[in-house]
Amino acid sequence: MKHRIATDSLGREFRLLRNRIEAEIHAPAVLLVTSATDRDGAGLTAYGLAESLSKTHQRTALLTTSATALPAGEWSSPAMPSQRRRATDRLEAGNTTVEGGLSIVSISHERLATISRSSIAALVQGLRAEHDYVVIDGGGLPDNTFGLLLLASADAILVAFLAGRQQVTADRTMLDTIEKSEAKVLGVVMNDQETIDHFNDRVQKLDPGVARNVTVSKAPATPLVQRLEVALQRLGKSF
Amino acid sequence: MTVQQFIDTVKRRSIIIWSVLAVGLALMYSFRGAVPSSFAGVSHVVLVAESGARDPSVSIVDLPSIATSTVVLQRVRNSLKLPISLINLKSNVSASVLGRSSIMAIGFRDQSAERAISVSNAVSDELSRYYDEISTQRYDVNVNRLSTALQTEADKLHALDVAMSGVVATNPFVVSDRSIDTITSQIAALDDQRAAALAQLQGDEALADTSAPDAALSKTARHEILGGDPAYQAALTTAARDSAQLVSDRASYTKAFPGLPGELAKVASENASIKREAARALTDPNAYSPSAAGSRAQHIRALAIVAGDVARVKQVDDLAGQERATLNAVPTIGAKYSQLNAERSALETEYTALATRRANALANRAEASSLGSVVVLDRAIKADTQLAGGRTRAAIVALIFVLGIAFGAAFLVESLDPRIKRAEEIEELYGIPVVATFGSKA
Repeated sequence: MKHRIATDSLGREFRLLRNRIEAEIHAPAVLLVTSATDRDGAGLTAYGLAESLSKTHQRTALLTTSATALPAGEWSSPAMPSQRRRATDRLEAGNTTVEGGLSIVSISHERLATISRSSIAALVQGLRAEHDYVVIDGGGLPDNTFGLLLLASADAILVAFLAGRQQVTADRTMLDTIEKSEAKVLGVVMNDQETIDHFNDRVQKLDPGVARNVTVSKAPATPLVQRLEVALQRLGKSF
Repeated sequence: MTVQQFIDTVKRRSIIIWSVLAVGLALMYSFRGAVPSSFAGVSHVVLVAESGARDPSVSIVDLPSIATSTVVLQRVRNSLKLPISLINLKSNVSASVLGRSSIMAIGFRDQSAERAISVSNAVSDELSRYYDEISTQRYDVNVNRLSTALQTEADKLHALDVAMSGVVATNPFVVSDRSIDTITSQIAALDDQRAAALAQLQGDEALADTSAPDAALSKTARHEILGGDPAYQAALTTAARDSAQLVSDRASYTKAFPGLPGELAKVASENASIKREAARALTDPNAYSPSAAGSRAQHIRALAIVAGDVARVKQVDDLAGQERATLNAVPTIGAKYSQLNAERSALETEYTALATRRANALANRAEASSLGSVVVLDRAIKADTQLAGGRTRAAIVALIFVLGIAFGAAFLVESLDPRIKRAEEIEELYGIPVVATFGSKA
């Protein structure tokens, strides 16, 4: 699928969002990007926000379960259990940089199913200690154990919404859930389907820019978008 | 809804809008022949005002409203017996002042050229009349009231005249101041006439008495009757002959002549027969005597003259009686007539005063009417009739209608779409402000 996205406009919007967050939430802080459904583009928002924060020399970590966006076979390969465990437990991950940078920590579904609340809290605290901002990709909150586990650790919440979808019961459930938390609700981010599809395509085209059999946490701390642009340029495609 | 939301909605539903527009334009093109042509008749009127004067009632800026008023148009509708409604008539009549002049154009649009012309001209004429009504309306009220009062006074005068005529009819002399003298003279003249008539009557009665026929027939009459009766004459002749024979026999014979007694008896019998025939002839109803008939006719004429004299005397007596009765009634009827006459004089005074006031009001009305008037400057004629572009107007209306339907359908679909697309809707749903939008369609 080919998508024509105005990257300049997208980048400007993320910068504006970043400035707003920096003004309202001072580092260190944990930001939970959530949504009512898993189609609202919480991943897009989390990735973009984390990348944008990292560009201002803020040490930023992105905590995600977006392995679902990658080929499931690669992540469930028996040859990679140690790497996945290390990555999810944040034992060896942490490509942090002194003058800012982006670290991506991805937790597999298998690990997510067995990880304890204390462990995840410890993971977040660890990331928070080493980074200025920890951005959590917690889309589809009513059905997302990961998001629910991290809700208590979040200092602020951003809600993603897919423009053009109908109202669903999950909207009310998500609102009830975030109202029970003590985190500050920063606002709603509207996404359109085309941008989300474009983002998903990019995630799936990490190869060959990022090896799929390597946990994302081990990827270079260069901005993901920049990496993608380089990869696409190599393929002779416009962004 | 903001302008931006409107634009966004139009963009989102552009397919619907274009589709409806395409269908609408196709239908317009298909039914273009169903719209009939129309014609416009135009006439011009000018507001004429007296130099230096100002008509306080109506100015040129008011004329279009007056020309298209329901009062004027209803009159036009009635006068022309137009088979169209007042609303339709009003919608097709146009009136506009040309620039800053005092000339106004009055137009009417219709499918019939003749009707367009006639209605345009009729509106102009009616406007001219109605303008005069407006200018003089306040005087018309006075004039009408004075006219009504005048009519009432005239009716009263007429009633008094009728009553006075009745009085005069019963006693014609009441109209004269010397009515008693006149009546007395009349009575005296009638008395003279009666005396003369009575004298004439008495003379005629005496004459009639003298001409009255006797109860017995006169000798002349008896002679005339018996002379004209043949049986009597025959008996007389026979008796004369036999008497002559007897005288001859007596001279020739002695008394001893045997035939003498027979002759004597025969003569006696014949004499008796003569008497019988005479009595019969005189008593015969058919017996005729010229002298007796003349006497009777003369007597009848005398009696007729006497009867005429009696009738004349009676007539004169009746007239004299009437005159005397009139003379006796003069005091009563004269008083009544005088009262009626006085009332009439008072009414005449009031009538004259009202007539003077009405004349003044009419003069004021005429003066007001002269301050300004609407004159038909240019009547609509056949050559002025033009194709009024009814199809163009219908096309514009239809296009606006189609556009309305197109946008209406777009916004109807938009309102029925349950999807949440605008930031306001999200904020309403979540109660959280939207802080960023990613993507052109968000």
